[in-house]
Amino acid sequence: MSNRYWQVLRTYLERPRFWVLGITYLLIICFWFWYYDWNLPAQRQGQAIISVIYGNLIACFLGLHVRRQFSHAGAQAIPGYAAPHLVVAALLCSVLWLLIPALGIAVGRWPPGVLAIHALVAILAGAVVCWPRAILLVMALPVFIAWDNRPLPMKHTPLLEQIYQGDRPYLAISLIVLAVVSQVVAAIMLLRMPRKGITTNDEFTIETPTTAVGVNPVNDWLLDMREAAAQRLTHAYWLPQVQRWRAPVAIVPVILLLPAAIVAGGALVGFLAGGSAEAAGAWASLTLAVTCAILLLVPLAPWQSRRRAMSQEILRPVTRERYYRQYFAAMALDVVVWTSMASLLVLAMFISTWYFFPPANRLWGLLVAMAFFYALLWSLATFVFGVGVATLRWRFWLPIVAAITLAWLLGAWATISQASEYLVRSMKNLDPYMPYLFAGFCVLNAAIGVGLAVTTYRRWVRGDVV
Amino acid sequence: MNPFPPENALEFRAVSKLYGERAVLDRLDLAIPSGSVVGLLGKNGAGKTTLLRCALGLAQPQHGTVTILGEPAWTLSASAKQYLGYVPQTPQLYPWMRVSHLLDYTGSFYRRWNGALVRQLAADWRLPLNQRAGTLSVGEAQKLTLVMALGHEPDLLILDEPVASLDPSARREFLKVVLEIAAGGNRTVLFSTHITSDLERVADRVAILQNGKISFFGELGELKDQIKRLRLVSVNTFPERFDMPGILTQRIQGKQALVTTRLVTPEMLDRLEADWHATVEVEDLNLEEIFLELHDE
Repeated sequence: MSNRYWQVLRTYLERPRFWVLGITYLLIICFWFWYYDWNLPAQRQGQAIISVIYGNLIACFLGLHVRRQFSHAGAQAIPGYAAPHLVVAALLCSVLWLLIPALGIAVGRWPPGVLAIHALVAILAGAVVCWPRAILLVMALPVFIAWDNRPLPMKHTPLLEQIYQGDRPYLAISLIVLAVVSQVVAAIMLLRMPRKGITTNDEFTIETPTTAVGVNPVNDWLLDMREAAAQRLTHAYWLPQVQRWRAPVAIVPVILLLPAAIVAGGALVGFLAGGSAEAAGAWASLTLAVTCAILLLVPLAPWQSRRRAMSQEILRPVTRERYYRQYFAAMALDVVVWTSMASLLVLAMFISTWYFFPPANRLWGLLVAMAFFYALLWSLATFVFGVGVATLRWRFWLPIVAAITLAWLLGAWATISQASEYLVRSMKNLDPYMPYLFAGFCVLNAAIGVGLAVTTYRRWVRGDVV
Repeated sequence: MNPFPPENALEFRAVSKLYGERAVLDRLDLAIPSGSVVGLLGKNGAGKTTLLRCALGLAQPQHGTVTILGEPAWTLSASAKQYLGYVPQTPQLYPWMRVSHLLDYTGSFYRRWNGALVRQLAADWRLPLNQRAGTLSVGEAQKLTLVMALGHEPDLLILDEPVASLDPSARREFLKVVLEIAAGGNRTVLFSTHITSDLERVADRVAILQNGKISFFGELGELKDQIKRLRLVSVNTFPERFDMPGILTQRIQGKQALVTTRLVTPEMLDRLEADWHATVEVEDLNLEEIFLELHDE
């Protein structure tokens, strides 16, 4: 490898994020390769999916890194600049989507279909190079997995499992071809970037550029409503001061109704597709699960954008400790508002499934199932709040926190929904350990969330404002 | 105004701030008297922003104490913050809020908010009150931040390179405003800059930050009186270096020499003339030249 190629490689090696993600990824892969039995489809699928999720995270950073390398005039002016940068980026990306699955196949741990799933990593990397906001697609895979494992009345094999088994050869080949095409398109895009005059770093921000404010009429209408909500908080002197800190991220009341519309839409689609109330219920519960997961993330995202104003806000007439306490309380209040919305949806869902409960213990079953779901929902909200505040100052906060949280939620939801179904349908044969296990899980979630929030508060109070 | 303003609005005592191994501030001492307009001058990366962040309690020094408005900066009380205004280098506004709302919102935190003054300033500086903050130009955003910092009539106003991103006409207008503020009463203004002409126009005192310490603090005239350039011409060849106290830089070429020195005394001039049979001309320097001489390494 010539010196130029080595120098380009060093730009990756000198960034701690690649080391942290890379080493963690390799450790997980090695652990799986040597200790797990791949004959079980569920294990095979789960482990390969986590490999792809991890690969996607690294791919996002790879894509942003290489895009930055080409987003200045020097990329055009320096002779021989493009080749080493493109080759190194392509090689590193190939490690993620070709080498690791090929290794898994070679040692007999993974089926050949896994290559097609890992092609998603290359597709995402290419997409991020072309359009940095595609980084948000990192959340798409967990959502897709939830959909792929949706509770349908009839037995079905998840699509990913079908690809593993080689039942979808055309789809598998298409994914691999798409991966190659996305790499080529990304390379062309990178070569054209300096000529197109893309030279600023603004493109790397995932927030809406300030210059875009007020351009779109619908956006402007929503902003006006947000302004009205914020005005109410600003002038409500009878409210505690913590409410005033919420004004810059004021919630538009109409938006709060959107999740209900999404769940109702899910039920309608289910009814039209399945033609039965049971199908509608299954689709609505799937939509509800995904919507609830998203509702837990929604309130913290505006706070992440706002964090840069902290050094100005803290100079308002309030002590450092009080400012942080009120800041955390205001954030928590937003989480409470959105989680309450999710709670209402869950309540509506339970009431609509009243007749699914055995008549003998209908009320008792409903109450217990609701208690299960509310405990789960609120403990997960606490978990997400803790993770959210602990990582609030990270640059790519949203996609990373969302990926971690969704992966966690997915596992939790799958486990708990099975447990609750078992509980509802077989009240008399309830495993005596199940409630303890469930309560333990909820307590763990809440403890992690509270622990992270308290630790972050202490760290912020003692540390410099950044 | 605070009925009992402290003698020094801002005081640093042996303050050190390290980032990793690098000491950005190194046992720095500085006392800014109440009622003065001080320009903080330093090269890029000299630590001006760090100094201001320590002053505001946004960063905690590893050693020493910072006192602002008579209180420790790190644990500044809410009541002291009523008398403090800050304009950052890059204002962080809530982009979707309209200017008028942003002013109202900021004002809702202060019990001493002067709505009439804010409206007056906004009108004088032609701030578009109905426009969203995210669509303002850089100059307008900077002016808005200044109005927000002035609305509660602070005793101490701190500005971190407020004109760095403005064009010359916007800069001139902005500085005119700062001058107006400074002229109005016993207000202390501290602003950092690396544009010396701005500082000359506005400040009555200058603090020069160099190698983590304040290398000079005093009135601008005093600095100009202290630092002079000597133009020497001799019939003999000068040595490679003059060995005299207070010399900042020296450029010697045969029988001609340019020496910038911090201490110019009649004795020194007599000695140069006598020792080297030289004619000595003493030249005044403007602030930019002084800055360059001080930083000529």
